[in-house]
Amino acid sequence: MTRTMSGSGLSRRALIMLAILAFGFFLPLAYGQYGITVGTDKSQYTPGSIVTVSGTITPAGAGIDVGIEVRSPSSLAVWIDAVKTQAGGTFSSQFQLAADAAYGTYTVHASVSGSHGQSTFNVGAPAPPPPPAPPTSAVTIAVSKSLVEVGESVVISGAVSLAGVITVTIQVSSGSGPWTTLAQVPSSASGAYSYQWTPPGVEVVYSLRSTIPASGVYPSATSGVVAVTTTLLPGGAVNKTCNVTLPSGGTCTLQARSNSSSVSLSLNSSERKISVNVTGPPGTTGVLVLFIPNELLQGVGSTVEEMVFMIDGIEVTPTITAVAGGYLITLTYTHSTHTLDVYYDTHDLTVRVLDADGNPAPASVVVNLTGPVKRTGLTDASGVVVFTKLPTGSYTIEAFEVDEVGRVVLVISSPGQYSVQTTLGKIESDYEQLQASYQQLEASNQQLQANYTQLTQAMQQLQANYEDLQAANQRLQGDYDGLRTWFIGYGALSVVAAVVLVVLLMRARKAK
Amino acid sequence: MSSLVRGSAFALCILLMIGVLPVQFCVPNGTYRYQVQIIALRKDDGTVATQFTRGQFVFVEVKLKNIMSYAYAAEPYLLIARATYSLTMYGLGAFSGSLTTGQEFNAMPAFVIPNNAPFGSYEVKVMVFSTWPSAGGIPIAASVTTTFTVIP
Repeated sequence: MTRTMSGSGLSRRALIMLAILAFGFFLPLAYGQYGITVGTDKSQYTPGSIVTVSGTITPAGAGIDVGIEVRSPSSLAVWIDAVKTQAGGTFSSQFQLAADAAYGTYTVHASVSGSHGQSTFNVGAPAPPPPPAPPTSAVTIAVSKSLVEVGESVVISGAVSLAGVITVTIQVSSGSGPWTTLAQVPSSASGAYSYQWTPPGVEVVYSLRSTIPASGVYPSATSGVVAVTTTLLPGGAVNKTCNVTLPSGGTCTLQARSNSSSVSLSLNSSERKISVNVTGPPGTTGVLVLFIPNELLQGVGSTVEEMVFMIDGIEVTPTITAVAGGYLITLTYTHSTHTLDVYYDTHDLTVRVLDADGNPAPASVVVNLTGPVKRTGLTDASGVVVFTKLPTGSYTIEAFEVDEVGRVVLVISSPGQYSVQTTLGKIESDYEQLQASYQQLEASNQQLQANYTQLTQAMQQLQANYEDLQAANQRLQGDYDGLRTWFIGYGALSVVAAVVLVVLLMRARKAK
Repeated sequence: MSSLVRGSAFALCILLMIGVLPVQFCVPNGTYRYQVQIIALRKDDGTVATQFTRGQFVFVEVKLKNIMSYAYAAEPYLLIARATYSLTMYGLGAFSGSLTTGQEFNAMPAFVIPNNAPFGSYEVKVMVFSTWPSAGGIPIAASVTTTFTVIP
């Protein structure tokens, strides 16, 4: 059979067929036919992982329903979801694989109207942990304070980078000295460690560091270095030192630190006395911290209990702190100029008071001790009084029973017993005699008083008599004067009469 | 002859169209064919509950209705009830069937709470697909969710 077609007829038929095919191609889209792609955020998961399923539809459109289903290697549905597309035609769904999810290849299905897509992912065992990093170790160190007052504690702490209990060696070095082990402390489970330490000495700079030894697992490690300085007083104080030669020939060092503006430190080995002169702004409070090394006390066979402390000659009680290597004596005062004396070796003295007959004095005789220190005591029933902690020096011992009844001057350079002979008994007998004499005198006095009174009265009488006599005398004098005048006149007249008479007689005789 | 050829080509086109359309002719998106009308959770004794314990059955009661206004045949459906705690699926129940226009059906897919299920609040999402998505199924109803609690 011959088939012929004209060109125009062929073209017309082709156009008709093309139109029909085009209709068949576009018609599905008009009824919601989409292409779809789907995948997962990763291709490999482990049980318990979160899987994000996502995909895109074409042509892009929002709000298009998509069915998602994930099936396990054994074709069990492990996830199913109904989602809608977002703008751009994207969709996603997220789920978490079970902790016991089967290993193998999982298939992800996504369906949209007219299309279905799928992808796969694998679930396998977790990747083996990475090989352990090369072991490292580290240790740190820190101190709670770097400036420590003598006798005060400091906390040394730090951390070890290793898990478990590690023995940390804390090392110390003073000055340029070698490192020595101060302590070995275990670290806690968290690696922390701490140690409380009281640094010995005063004005000493210590360097501290920590180390951990190497083991078969980790290498050794050493921390940085921290410093701790011991000080008598916090910063700003005046330091003074005094080297002392001990009786044994050795030496030790006294140290004084004060907030006073001027401090001088000296030691009198014969008096066993440390003297510190301080001066500061008047009215302010001064503090002196004196470090007395044990060697000083031991060198003279003394103890801290035997020491006597004085400020300007007055005994005081300081704060005494035992520290490594000695004692810290803390004295406070109100500033002006003061002399602080510390007698580091003292003696005990027993005084026995005897009466004039050599017998023990009765109890409660007051005994005063005057010397480097002043003390007062009362005798007991045996006439004894004991004085303790007396510094070396010259003392005057006086016994009083109202009045001083005895006195002795002696130099105390070592503990001893001394007797004071008193005039106690003699005085008493003298007193009794005096008492009797007094009474006699008292009686005599009374008698004399009476006599005096009588004499006074007699004298007054005599005085009155005298006055009367004087008045009578005056009268007599007047009378006398009158009489004398009269007598003189009368005498003269008598003489004249006599003369006349004589004359007359003579004349008479003659006349005869 | 030419009319025979023309007629044959036309018939061929018609056949091609008939051959393509049945597989690609779908209901346009945005138009759901089914509606989940009622949802309730029941224990195996039939009582409505919101708290369950491990090992118990959870029955998800769903009243499904074909809301298509036209259809020439019953529409198949696949009802899925999925229980999740956080992002992990601990229960999956399915029920399939078909309904004609306006027809309703009470389906009750169920699942068992696993013995290793954590205690706490679970979400139940009820989805209706035309068939399994792995077989090309797409959602044909709006999803509905509810919650229940697994207690010791």
